[in-house]
Amino acid sequence: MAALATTALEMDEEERLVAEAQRGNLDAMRPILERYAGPLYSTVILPRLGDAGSAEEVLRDTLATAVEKIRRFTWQGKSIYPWLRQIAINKIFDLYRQTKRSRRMLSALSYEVDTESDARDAADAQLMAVQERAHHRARIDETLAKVPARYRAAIELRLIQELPRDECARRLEVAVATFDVLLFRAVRSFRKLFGEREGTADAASAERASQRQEKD
Amino acid sequence: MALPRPPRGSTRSDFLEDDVPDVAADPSDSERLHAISFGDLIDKAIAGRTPPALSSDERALLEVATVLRAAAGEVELEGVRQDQLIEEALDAPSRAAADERRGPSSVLDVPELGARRRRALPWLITGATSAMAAAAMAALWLRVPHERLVAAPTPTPARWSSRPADEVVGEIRRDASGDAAARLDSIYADRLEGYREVTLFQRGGPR
Repeated sequence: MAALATTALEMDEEERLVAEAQRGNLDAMRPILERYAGPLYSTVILPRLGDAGSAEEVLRDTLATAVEKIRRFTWQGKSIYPWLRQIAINKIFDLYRQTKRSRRMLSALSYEVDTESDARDAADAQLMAVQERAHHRARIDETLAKVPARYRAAIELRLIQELPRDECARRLEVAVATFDVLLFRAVRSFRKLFGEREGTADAASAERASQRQEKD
Repeated sequence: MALPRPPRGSTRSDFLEDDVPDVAADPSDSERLHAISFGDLIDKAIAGRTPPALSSDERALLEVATVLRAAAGEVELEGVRQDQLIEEALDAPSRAAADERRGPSSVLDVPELGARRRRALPWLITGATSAMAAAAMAALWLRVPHERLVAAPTPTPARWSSRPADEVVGEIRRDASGDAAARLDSIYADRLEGYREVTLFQRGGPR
């Protein structure tokens, strides 16, 4: 993960850059965007969308909105990261509304994380990003524990360790075509279990998120 | 194992919503095909070459796989791509300002229409063009024929054209038969006069 603003020195620098951008020198935003674009993409946007192309578009729109509205940002002695994160979350909601696709699992993930951890209360960007990633991982691990061991192994080897197919097949002592079937079933199984888990909280959390969006 | 690839963009299958078979269950041919196709897709996604066109089922499963990879911290944005997105974001205000300066005068700007007008617009255009075509056909059909207004071309004077020299030379008497030079002079003078007339006429001078 890219280094986030953690030390007092970095916070001072960030405050100075924000003030400069608010005076009209938008180029001062560049170091801030370079610092936070990676964490926003990998811990906030992509885990909620699951689609790299859409995630890149949301990231670009998030950064553009931040540049456009930097004058409205009020420095409160903590990093600008929570503000950027909130913009990203709003953009993700906008995307869900526009596409209106049936994504029960992913939309549930999006709503619940947002309601459980209020970014505006977090004091430290680094801690927030780490917590968010840990939160995603815990939720996924919880579902993975319910997946049959053979399927779990296929997911671990192929999607988490990112080993080549033939190496995964070798480790599971099966042919490559058989491993393909194992992984295919494993992802389907995970999707079903995760969707069921998240689906119970889906309606309520979606309603809460919608209300907060209207309030914002 | 060589299996044919499932057709891209083929009809929606049931594999997304059906129950997942037991670990030990033998796969059907259809499941094998989907599994191989999905394996290829994961290869491409890991290499950062996700195809833009996917069936909705493939996309749904790929999204799950990407969420799993992202949670493990395996998916980072490439540095070059990140720089591009940052540049685009920083340029956005100046692009918006330029668009505003250009205003609605661009030929590409289409005025905003209400939903009802937007729905009616194609019918209005079709109706207007059909009416114009009908009016044109009626005008052609009903028009009274009249004489051509274009004047007939003026005939070229004979003296400008190639013609026999009999008129110039006349009958050649026996006693003047040896005076061919005089006859040639007459013919030459006649032709020269015609040439001058044509030349002066073409320059707009007096005929």
